[in-house]
Amino acid sequence: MGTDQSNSQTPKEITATGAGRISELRPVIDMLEKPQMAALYTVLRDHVVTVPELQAEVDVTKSTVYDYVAALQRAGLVSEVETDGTATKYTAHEFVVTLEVDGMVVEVTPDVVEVLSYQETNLEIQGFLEQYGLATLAAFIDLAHQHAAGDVTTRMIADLLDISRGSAYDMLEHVGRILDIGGEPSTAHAADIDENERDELLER
Amino acid sequence: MTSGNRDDNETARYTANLVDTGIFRAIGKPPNEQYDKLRAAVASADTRLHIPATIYEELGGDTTADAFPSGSEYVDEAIRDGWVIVADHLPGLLADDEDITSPVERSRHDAHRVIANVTNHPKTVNQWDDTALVGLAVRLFEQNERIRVLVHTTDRALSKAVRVVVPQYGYYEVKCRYYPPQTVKDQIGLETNLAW
Repeated sequence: MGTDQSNSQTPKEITATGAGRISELRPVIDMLEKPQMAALYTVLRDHVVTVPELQAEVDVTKSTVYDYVAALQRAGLVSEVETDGTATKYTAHEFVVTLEVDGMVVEVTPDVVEVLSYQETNLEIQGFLEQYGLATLAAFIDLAHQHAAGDVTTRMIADLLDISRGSAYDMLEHVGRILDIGGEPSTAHAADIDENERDELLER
Repeated sequence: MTSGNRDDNETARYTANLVDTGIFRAIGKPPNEQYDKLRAAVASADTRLHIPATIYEELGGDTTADAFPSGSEYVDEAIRDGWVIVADHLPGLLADDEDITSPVERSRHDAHRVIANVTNHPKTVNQWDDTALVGLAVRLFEQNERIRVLVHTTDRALSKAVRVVVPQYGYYEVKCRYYPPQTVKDQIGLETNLAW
């Protein structure tokens, strides 16, 4: 655990938005390579917690937790929350950082960070990253949201990203579970479709 | 024996379950717990799972080999055991869009159009194989009078395509069950999901 060899592509161009908060980019890049740092950011995105509480969620030493929190604070991705004189609590901010890596544009979002936090523990994510790279993974995550909304099919995703259909099916399951997208199963009867809608959808 | 006067209503309609690739991928290769649950659910619902030849191929199956089934670690065992049935190749090619009279073939072109409209993706990336479940549903209705069709898919857009297109051919006894991919493992073994 904790090796930083994966995704070590060098970004060439960088743009960032985060409500104008991002003040240092290195920690963003670090999160792509350090799953525990990515996991720590993800915990802070969902919860307002103290360092000991963070340490209970993330598998690193207390001093590493402090280092990661400090780095993310410097970057403007994490802030202290007003507390009533007890232990300091932290929260994370949303952001989008656009990198250009080997000629491909990579949109780094909190969802990408969350999925990357599984890059050493989830074999499917790990294999996908090794075979297709970070840019394709980031594009896949965006398409996974579109898929959950019914705006693209699995076979189309495979075609758009030039990945195998098998990978597309398997990754949708894993990414869907990690990001909890897609809602609940549902059954619908053909007779319940509105005739006007039917006519519109059949139009050329 | 003097039977033969069975009430027609007692002759239950057969519910054919049509199953998309994503369902089998999520269940995984047997042996595993979900696969066993699905097999038991199919038996107690007294149904069969039907798949188009293209879906069999997506699952690794070889439709050109002399031996059948062959090549799919996901479904070959179930095919041999008789509870998964691979349909013969459906007619229709993406290129032929003129003068089509066969309902099965026409339904696939309809589905292709509906999928393009539902997804707002140009037809150039619209996969022709996405139309196979629609074509198979129409074929099963054409070939069987007392039948209902229940389609299981992990693609919302395909659920919509089936429900929009199949009734165009006069068949309304169609339901679709959509599963977010990560929910398949917990859901597919439930008998209630396979019964009308």
